[in-house]
Amino acid sequence: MKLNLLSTSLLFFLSLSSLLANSTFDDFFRSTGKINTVLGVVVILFLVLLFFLIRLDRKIGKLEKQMKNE
Amino acid sequence: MNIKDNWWKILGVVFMLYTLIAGILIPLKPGVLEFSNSRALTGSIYEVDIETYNTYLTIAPTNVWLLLPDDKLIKADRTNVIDNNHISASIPIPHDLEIPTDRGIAATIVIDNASDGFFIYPDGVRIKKGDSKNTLSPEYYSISDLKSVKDFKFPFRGVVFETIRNTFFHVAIWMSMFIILIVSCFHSIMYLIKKDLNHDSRSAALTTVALVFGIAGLLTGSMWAKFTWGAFWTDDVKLNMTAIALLIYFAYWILRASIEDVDSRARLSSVFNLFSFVCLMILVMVIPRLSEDSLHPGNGGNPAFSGEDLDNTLRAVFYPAIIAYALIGFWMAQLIYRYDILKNNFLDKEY
Repeated sequence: MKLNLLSTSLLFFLSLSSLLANSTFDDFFRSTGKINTVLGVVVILFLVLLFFLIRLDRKIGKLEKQMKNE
Repeated sequence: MNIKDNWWKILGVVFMLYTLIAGILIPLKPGVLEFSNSRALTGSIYEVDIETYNTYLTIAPTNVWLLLPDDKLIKADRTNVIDNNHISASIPIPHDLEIPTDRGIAATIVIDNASDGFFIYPDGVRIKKGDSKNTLSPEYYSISDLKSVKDFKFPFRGVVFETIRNTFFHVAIWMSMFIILIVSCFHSIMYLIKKDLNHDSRSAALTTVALVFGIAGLLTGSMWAKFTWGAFWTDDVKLNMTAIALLIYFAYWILRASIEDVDSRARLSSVFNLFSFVCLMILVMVIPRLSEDSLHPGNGGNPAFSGEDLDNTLRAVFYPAIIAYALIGFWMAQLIYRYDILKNNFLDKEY
């Protein structure tokens, strides 16, 4: 249940970061060059989520190894 | 973390980064944003100020034209480039142009130069019969006289403009949700055949991820709709049917949570999963296409999604995006599944 909640919030934030990338007011982002900032923000958010995924994967892997060795 | 078992996760990450970078950075094709005058009369000069988007009108000689319904072009005899995105033009309208009805004919504004190629505002000008006695007979040109350039840019569409990039985020998440659900149904069927609880755990994990993708799709769709079309939700068939389909999948969760016995839970939720998938297909794919009118492409009288709405440039990022979301979805499902297995083993050992 806990992991379900975790993965739910994970994807919620992923979708939020997609929203950040796409709710572009065409007047605002058009020519100011700030699109690179948007890209940077979205990539950073994605990398944070990725880091979380990898950490989770490793933790579970460790537990599986422990289980196997017993 | 060895590469042999996890190569597909790395592939998902690579595709995701590609989708983000290409989807956000590749510019839109040049387009016409606004123009000052939408009425023209035969036998007089049509004067207009035009504002364009993503253009460099100052670096090459720019022409303005009117494209008539019979594919003939009238060239502006005077253009004044104000800056890279603003130009004003005067176009003489022939006095002998045939105007069949009082409503006039619709003409398309065309702008071209050697750097941007040509771009249009379709049917933006209405030409009506003028009563001036001037005889204006400008030369006619053809579409092959326009300059075109080959570049890799996303289509410029009115109303959506830059938010066309949402194709790689909102639409792609829905498509990958279908892929994940198909695999989930596969595992449900395998459970019913083999009665192996691993298959049930897998299908539950995949359905969980798919449901979260569905919520993400609804949220991103609402946000897109609000900023582009003015409302978070409308009475559109596809929207309502999708909401109903997601509610059915919520019921799947509730069903799983309410049964204690592992075997009957697995059996019931496998059957319900298959039923939900069939419902999803009917509600989201079939009914919208049968309905009379819908806002979504491909449904209710609109041309199909891949016809008018997908360009080859969009496809180059759209398909990798679907793969990226699907792979990352599978990764998340795998983590949920492995945790589930660990939990069951832990409980079995009775510490």
